[in-house]
Amino acid sequence: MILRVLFIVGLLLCVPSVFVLDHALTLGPASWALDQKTFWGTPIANFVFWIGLAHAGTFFSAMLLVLNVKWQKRISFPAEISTIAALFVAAIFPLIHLGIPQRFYFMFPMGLFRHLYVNMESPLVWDFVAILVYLCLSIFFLLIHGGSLRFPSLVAFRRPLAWVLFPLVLWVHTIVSLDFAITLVPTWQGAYFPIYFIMGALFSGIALVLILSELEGRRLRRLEDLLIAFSWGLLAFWIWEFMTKGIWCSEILFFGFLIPQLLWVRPLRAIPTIRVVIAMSVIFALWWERIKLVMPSAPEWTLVDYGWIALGLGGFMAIYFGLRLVTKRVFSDRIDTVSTGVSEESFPKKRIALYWGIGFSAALLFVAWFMVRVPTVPGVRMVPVFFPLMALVTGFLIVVDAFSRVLNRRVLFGLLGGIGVILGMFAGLIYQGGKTIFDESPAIIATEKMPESSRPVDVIWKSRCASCHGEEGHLNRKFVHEFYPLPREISVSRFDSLGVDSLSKVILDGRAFMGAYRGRISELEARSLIEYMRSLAKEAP
Amino acid sequence: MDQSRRDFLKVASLVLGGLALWGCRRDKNFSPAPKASSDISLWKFEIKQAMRRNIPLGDLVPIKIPGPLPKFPKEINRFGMAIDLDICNGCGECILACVLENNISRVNDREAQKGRFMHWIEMREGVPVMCSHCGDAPCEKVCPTGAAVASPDGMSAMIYPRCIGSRYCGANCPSKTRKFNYTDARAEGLSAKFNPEVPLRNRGVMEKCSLCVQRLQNDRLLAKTLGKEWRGMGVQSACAMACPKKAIVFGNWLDSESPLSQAVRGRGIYTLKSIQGLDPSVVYLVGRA
Repeated sequence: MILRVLFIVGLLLCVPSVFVLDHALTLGPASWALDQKTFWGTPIANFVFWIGLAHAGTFFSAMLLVLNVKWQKRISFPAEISTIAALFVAAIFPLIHLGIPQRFYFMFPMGLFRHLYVNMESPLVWDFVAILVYLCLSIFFLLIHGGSLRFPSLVAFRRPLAWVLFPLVLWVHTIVSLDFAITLVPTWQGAYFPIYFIMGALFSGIALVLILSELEGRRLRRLEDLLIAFSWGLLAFWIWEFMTKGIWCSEILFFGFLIPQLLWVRPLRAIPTIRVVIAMSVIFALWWERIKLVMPSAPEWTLVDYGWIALGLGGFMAIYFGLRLVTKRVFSDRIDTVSTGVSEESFPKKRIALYWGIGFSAALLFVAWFMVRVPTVPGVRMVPVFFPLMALVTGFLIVVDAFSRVLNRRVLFGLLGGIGVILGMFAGLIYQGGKTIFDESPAIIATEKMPESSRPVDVIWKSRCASCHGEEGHLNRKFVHEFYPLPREISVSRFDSLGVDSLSKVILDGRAFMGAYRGRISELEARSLIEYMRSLAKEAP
Repeated sequence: MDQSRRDFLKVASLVLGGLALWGCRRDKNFSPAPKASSDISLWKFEIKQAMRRNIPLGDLVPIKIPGPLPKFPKEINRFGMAIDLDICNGCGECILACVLENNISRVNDREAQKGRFMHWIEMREGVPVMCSHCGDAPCEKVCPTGAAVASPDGMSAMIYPRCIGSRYCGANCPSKTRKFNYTDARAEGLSAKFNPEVPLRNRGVMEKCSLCVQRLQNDRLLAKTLGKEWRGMGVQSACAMACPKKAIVFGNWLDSESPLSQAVRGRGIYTLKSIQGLDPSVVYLVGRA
């Protein structure tokens, strides 16, 4: 009953968040609190917060499974669902944060694909890759867990997949912390940031799982002990921050450290409401900590900033409780009684090793391919995405192997084909992409009337085109590499297939990275340029 | 039970309806766009408004004269500027010239209230501050899409069509000279095309001082057409041209005959303390060395 009420509350909270989303997307980043020197605002803080909450699910299901902690199976299923819910919510925020959200796919590390350059030096690209992989693997993990209730032989695959997720979680949150630690902002610097972030993420996550397990009507004393332990661990970091940077925030200390200490008092700890309130105060403290971290100058909040709270809470509650209700109906209570240690013997060790090997070589191949396409990228910068890619391939192989044992082969191939088609569609969308030139109307640019007559065509070529396309038509590689992706090589067959009309349109109106020359080159000149290029192409060996 | 469900639905639909009405309210942000104006006095007024802000400059620290870039050791050009603080009186003419050269848009009232203007040159305690075009630029390192890239000529360039507005460069710029287009200036009629060679920027794109790259580019193309070696002699940035006291000098750091190299001879070269280790190309001159 309580789950259903909370699901409806979540749906209701989604209503104001739709308005907030609409407001934020129409008005852009100006709609939330940013002052003159803060370029990152509440969306980034909320992103870090929700991604931290997501880690808890993986911590309780994957890490404790690997470490053979017995009590984890009492909460692992709700925890896994909460990971997926929190990840979906977390993924919304960086997209809203972008100035031009529809261009988010520019960050796909494709290596000069479709005239896009992806800077592998930037932590944002690492972030993008790592979180996508994390989302995929969390879904795989949940699939295996859910599937194992129907087909008990799948249980053997939970542990190998947990071994993929365990390091991946640490990797993901390290990368999130590097978004900050790599910059030159004095308050964001410190080699301890990865551990600090991971500790904070787990602390808030444990509090969340405590609330979720109370809602399931279970009490786990170990969670309460962990909460106390982590509050002392974070106190150490907060003191460290104060000693090195002078950052001190008493609210965080009160809600994040002092209130959890109430758990030492036995009579208080026995009351479920008190436990939930303490967990909520911890979650609030860590949310406030992220806000303070991202925006130390505390600009005045707008309605949109408050709206993120509704968006996060509403989205999380709707997805989590929705999924929970569905899984309860489908699996009834078997979820909680499933044993994880039955088929330890059937654990296919050699195969798993093979999958890790394939994953490793796939990641290596990707790095090699990327570095051939974009030779300017320093190889060390590929390290942060190396492990996530390897984990993705390995995890995918494990899941396919697992389901190939229980599913009809035809169904399996059908599913794989479906996934392949969807991925292909996405790839096609990205390949086709949007406009990457300015959509200024040529009428504005053509301020002066061009004479229809002609300057010598080779002079135009040398002055306007040769800087990129090269004097002889063989690309000025050194220059182009620095600024743009390489344009196509000139060849006679390409000329004939494209035709004069479309080529002159490209010269006048531009295409992708080719600039528009209307107003600087007349139509007649464009046509003569095409003839000139054709002659260059003929001379080319 | 039936009754309570009906009550619940009533309350819920009332709340939803109320919120929907609230969402449909008339918002001044959605009022029809005013007509675009290219009246320069509007920009002059905004510059005055911007100069009234009291932005702290921070300390100036001495640095060595900028040399060849470690990234492009064979290049013969590295463009930059020197601003002579002994002569500069902070009149703000350079800002206007920059606005007219680079089609910098005005901002709407809300942004102006927050003090967020688009001007590429900012007066901080009477000192003009713009992007320093660092040789070791932190913005280029963190840009996810390669929109902020180094040019071999010593410029830290901005490729607008690549920019997705993650604002990472702005967060990582110690001198805070990058400007983000919060306002949709074209839709609100706040921009004008004074110079046909420079594109207008969309909302959601980062921009900053470009060292008047269009002027350099035109000169380079001319030199290429004529087949001469190009050192950028004779090119001047808009702010350098407009400065009534000739306090801003534009030139090529690697050309000993350029006006820039002449002007810094024997002078003390300074930069903002926050970027002292980043090898800036735009520097300040104070006193004798």
